Amino acid sequence: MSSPAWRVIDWIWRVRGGVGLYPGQTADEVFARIDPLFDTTGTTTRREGDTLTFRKRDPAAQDPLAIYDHGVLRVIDGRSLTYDLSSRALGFCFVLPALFAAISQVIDGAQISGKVFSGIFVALYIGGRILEPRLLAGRLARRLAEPQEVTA
Amino acid sequence: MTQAAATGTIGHDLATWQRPRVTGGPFKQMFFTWFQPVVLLAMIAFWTFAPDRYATFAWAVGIGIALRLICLVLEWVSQRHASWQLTWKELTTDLFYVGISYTLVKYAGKHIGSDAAIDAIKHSFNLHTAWAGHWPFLLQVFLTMFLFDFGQYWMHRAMHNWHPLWLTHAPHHFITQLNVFKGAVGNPVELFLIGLGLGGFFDFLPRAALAAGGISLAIDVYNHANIRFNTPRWWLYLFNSIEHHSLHHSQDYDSTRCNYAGTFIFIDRLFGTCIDDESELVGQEGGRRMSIREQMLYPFLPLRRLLPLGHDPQAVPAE
Repeated sequence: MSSPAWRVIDWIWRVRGGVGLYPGQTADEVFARIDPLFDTTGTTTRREGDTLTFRKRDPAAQDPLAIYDHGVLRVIDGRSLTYDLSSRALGFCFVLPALFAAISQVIDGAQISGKVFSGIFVALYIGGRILEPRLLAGRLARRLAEPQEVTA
Repeated sequence: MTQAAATGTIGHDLATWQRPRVTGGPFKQMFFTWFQPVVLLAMIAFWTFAPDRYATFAWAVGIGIALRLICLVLEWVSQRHASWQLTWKELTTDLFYVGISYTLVKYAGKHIGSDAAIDAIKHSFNLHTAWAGHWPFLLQVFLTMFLFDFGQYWMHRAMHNWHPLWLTHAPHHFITQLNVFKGAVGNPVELFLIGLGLGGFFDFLPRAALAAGGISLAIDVYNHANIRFNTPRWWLYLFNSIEHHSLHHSQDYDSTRCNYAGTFIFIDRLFGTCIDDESELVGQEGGRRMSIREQMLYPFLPLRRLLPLGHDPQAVPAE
């Protein structure tokens, strides 16, 4: 589903965006440059022309894209690399304030701690929703800019 | 791979164990050499001499939060391993488990935990131990700490040697890096079991219980923290540490079967289960990070084998 209304909702757990390419960078070169980001335990990729699809299962904490579970990256007209990624971690963090608010109402003795953790996860979600897309764009941009030997 | 696994030797000789030191100038060296002992002494002094209006549960909670936040900052100032650097996802996951511990597990412990059971036993047998509250204050504090850690040692050791208990504890060993809040990561059943203790048989002063909690924290808060300290040898002889506990979390299963105590590593020395060594590669099954869903379901794997409930992860056997 990609209606505007749904895009407002799935913004909770999806990260969309893009980074510019350098003149002359082909899809082969772009995907070769960003390949190390996907060369991690539990990650599978599928390349079809100018599109790369990936899926992760139980990524290690050290995986730089561990927050994302699956996604699509596409080279557009040799000018930009766009991405559309899904994150269960962001979605999970989004519902945690409600979970701990409910716990604070149901469990005697957790009125304060439940509300405190509810507030903590509100702050964490906002921080993560702002921070993680920036980190992703930065990592992709650095990989595309790095002077390196590229083997397609 | 740990030294024990690689060479067949059993850890290091504590007297000659050469560990990487903190990098930086003289002030940083001094800070990370003395931080742990000074915090411990300050904690003992506070709970021994503070006026009653400050020796309260609220202050204990506040001090605990402050010390953990300081350790979070220290993870960035003197990082132990770059591969353990805290990320947003790790912090969020860790705090989820901390939240569960402070709410649901705490609630369960209060109503069906060891203290509730001990209260019922004492009531049934008409046991009165108020005399324990007249012992010297610091003796009460030490016994509270020791009794809890002694029980935790045997529970933890049993978890690594009896498969049904290992199923509750294994999720904690699927973390692939160590950070200050990682001690709370695990299945709630394990968090409940590891919190059982025998201290409730003695009616120590309530202040002694608060002091024991605070002083224990000043020792074991570093066990999962990604902080490089110049830890003194006497500390390593007496207390658990990130060195000992990182070895306990190493990826080869045999090396996890050591260093069980939470606070007093000398208990492991007494029972021959202490190995003075450390590890950077942590986790199980080659470093597969377990999802929260799997962590919650893992102890019930035997049921999942009987019923067609989908993915059935391979369990590492505890002998």
